Amino acid sequence: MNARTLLGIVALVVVGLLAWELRWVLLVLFGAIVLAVALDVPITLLRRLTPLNRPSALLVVLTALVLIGGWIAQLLLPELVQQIHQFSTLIPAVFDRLMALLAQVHWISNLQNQLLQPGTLERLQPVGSQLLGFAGGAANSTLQLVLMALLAILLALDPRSHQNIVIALTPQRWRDHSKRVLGECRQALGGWLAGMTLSAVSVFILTWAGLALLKVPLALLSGLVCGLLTFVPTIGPSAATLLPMAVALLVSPATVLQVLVLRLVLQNVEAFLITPLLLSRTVNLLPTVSLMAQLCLGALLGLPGVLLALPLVVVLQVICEELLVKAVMDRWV
Amino acid sequence: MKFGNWLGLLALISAALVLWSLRHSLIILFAALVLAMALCTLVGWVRERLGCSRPLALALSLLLVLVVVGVIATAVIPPFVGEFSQLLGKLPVALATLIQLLRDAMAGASQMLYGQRDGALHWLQVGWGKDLGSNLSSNIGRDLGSNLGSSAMGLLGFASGVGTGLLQALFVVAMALMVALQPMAYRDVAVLLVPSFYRRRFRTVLMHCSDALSAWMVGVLISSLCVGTLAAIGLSLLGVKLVAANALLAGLLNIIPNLGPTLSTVFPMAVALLDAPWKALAVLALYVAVQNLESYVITPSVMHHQLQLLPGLTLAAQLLFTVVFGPLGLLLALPLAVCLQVLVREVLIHDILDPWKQQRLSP
Repeated sequence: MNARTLLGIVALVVVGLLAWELRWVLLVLFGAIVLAVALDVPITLLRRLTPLNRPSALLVVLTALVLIGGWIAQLLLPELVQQIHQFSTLIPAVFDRLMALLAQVHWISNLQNQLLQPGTLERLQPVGSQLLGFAGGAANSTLQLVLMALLAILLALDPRSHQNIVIALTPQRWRDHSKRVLGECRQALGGWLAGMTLSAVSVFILTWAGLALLKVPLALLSGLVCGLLTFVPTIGPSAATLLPMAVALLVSPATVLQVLVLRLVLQNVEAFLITPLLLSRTVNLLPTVSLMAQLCLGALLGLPGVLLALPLVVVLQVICEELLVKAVMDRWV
Repeated sequence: MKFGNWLGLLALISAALVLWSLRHSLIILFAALVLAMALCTLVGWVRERLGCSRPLALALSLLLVLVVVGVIATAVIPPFVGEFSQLLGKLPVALATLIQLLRDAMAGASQMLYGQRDGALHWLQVGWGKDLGSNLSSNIGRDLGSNLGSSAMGLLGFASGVGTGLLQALFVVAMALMVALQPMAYRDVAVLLVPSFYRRRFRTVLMHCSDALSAWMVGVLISSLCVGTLAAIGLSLLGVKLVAANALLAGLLNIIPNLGPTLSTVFPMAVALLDAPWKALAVLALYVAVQNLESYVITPSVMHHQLQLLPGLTLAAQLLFTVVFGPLGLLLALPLAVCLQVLVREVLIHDILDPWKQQRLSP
C-alpha cells in the first residue's frame, strides 16, 4: 500500500462521511433533479416539434405551466375558496359527529373526562411548544421548496454541462459507461414521471366525477388531494381517502360506505389497469421493492424520504442493475 | 491491495452500516417473507391435491385462510375476550390467595420449629404477612386506579403504539401477499445480486432455505395443535375454568420456545389457585408433562432430523435476536435460526471451509 492509495482511501472516507452529514442537502438536490427532469420532458418534446433553442423552450414551458395553473386557479379558485371555507366550518361539525358516535362507547367518554381534567392542560403545554417548532419547520421547508424550484430551473436550463461535470468526475475508462448509465437514469425517471402524472390526473378526474355523482360536498378539493397524493404510492391513496370520508360522514353513514367503495374501486383500477398500461414500457418495479423502499427511506430520512422514495428507487434500480449486476457480478466468473 | 480492492471493502462496510441502521425494517421484511413462505407452502399443497393452476390455487388457499381465520374470529374470539377480561380481573384475588397461602405456610413452619407457644414470632409473621399482603394489594389497586385515571397521555401513547403495531401487521400482510403472488421474480432478483460463478449454487441454497422454513412451519403448526388440545383435555379433566382461553394461549405461545410455555403456565395456575391450591400444582404438573411430551415425543417425530436445533442454540438465538431486533426478533427467532442454520451449513461450511485445504506456508 503506497501513499497514493492511502490518500485515496482517506479522501473517500471523508467524502462519504460528509455526504452522510449533508444528506438533507443532498435530498433537496435530488428533489431538484427530479423537478428538472419533469421540466425537461416537455422541453425535449417541444424542441423536437419546433426549432426553438433550449432557454426559449424552457421559457415557453414555464409560461405554459404558469398560465395553465392560473387558468385552473381562476376556474376553480372561487369554488375552491368557498369549499375550503366550508371545510373549515365543517371540521367542528365532523368532530361533533365523531364524538357523538364515540360517546356510545363508554370508555371513550371516560377518556374524554380524563382529558378535560385540569391537570391535562399543563401536560399539553409541551405540545404547544412543539406546535411552534412545527411552524418554524414549515417556514424552513417552504424555503427548501423555493430553493429546490430555483435549482430545478437552473438545471433544466443547461442539463448537458451539468451532466458533463458528473461524467468528468469518473475515471477515464468508465466515462462511456457512466454516460450511458446517466442517460438510462434520465429515461427511467422521465418515463416514471410522465406515467405518474397521467395516472394522477386520471385519478383526480375520476374521483371528482364520482364524488360529484354521489353528491358529496367538497368534491373538487377531495379530488385534487387524492390526485396529488397518488404520487406517494401505497400510503398516499389510503391517506387521501380520509378527507372525502370525513366529509361524507356529515351527509350520512351510508355515504361514507359509498365513498369508501368508490375510492377502493378507483384505487384498484389505477393500480391494476392505468399504471401497468402507462408504466409497462418504462419501469417495472416489483411492488414489494417500492413498499420496502418507502419504509427504509422513511426510517433513514423521515417524511421527505417517503415522499421522494419512488423516484429515488427508480434511479437506484437503474444504477444497481448497471453497476452492481452488469459491471461487477456478471463479470465475476 | 490495490485501490479497487479498497473501494470494494469500503462499499461493503458502508452497506453493512446502512443495513444495521435499517435492521428494524429488515425484520419486518423477514416477517413478510416467512408469512409468504407459509402461503406458498399452502399453495403448493393445494396444487398437489387438486392439480390446478397456480393463480387458482393461490385464490383457493387465500379463501381457505380467510375462512379459518373468520371461523376462529367469530367462534373463539368473543368468548376468549370475555374469559380473558374475567381472568385479568381474577389475578389480584389470586395474588391475595397466594399471599395467604404463604403466610399460612410460614406460620406452620414457625409452629413446627418453635412450638405452639411462641406468640411473638407468630405475631411478627402474621403482622408482616398481613401488612405486606394488604399493602401490596391496596397499592396495586390504588396505583392501577390512579394510573388508569390520570395518565390519559400514557393511554394515548399506548394507543399510538397499538396503531403502529397494527400498521406494521398490515404492512407485513400486504408484502407477504405481494411476494406470494410471484415468488419466482423475487428469487431471481436475489440470485442476480450474487457473483455469476455462484448463481447456480445460490439458487439451490435458497431452495434449501425455503424447504427448511416450510418444514419448520408445518412442524410447529402440528405441535401447537397438539399442545393446545392436550392442554384443553387436561384442564377440562382437572375442572379448571376458562379452558378455551388457556388452551388457545398455550397453543399460540408454543411458537416461542422456552419463554412461551413458561408464560402460558401463569394464567391457568392463577385461575386454579382460586379454586383450590392443590389444583395449581396439578396444573403445573400437567403443563410440565405436556411440555415434555411435546419436546421429546411430538417434535422429534414431526420435524425432520436435520431441522432440529440444539436447545442451547435455540436459547442463544432467542437472546441474540431479541437484543438485535427487539420484540419482533423474539417472535421470529426460530425461523431466523432455521434460515441461518441452512446458510451456515451450505455456504460457510460446505462451500468455504470444506475446500480449504492446508496450504503450504509461503516463505
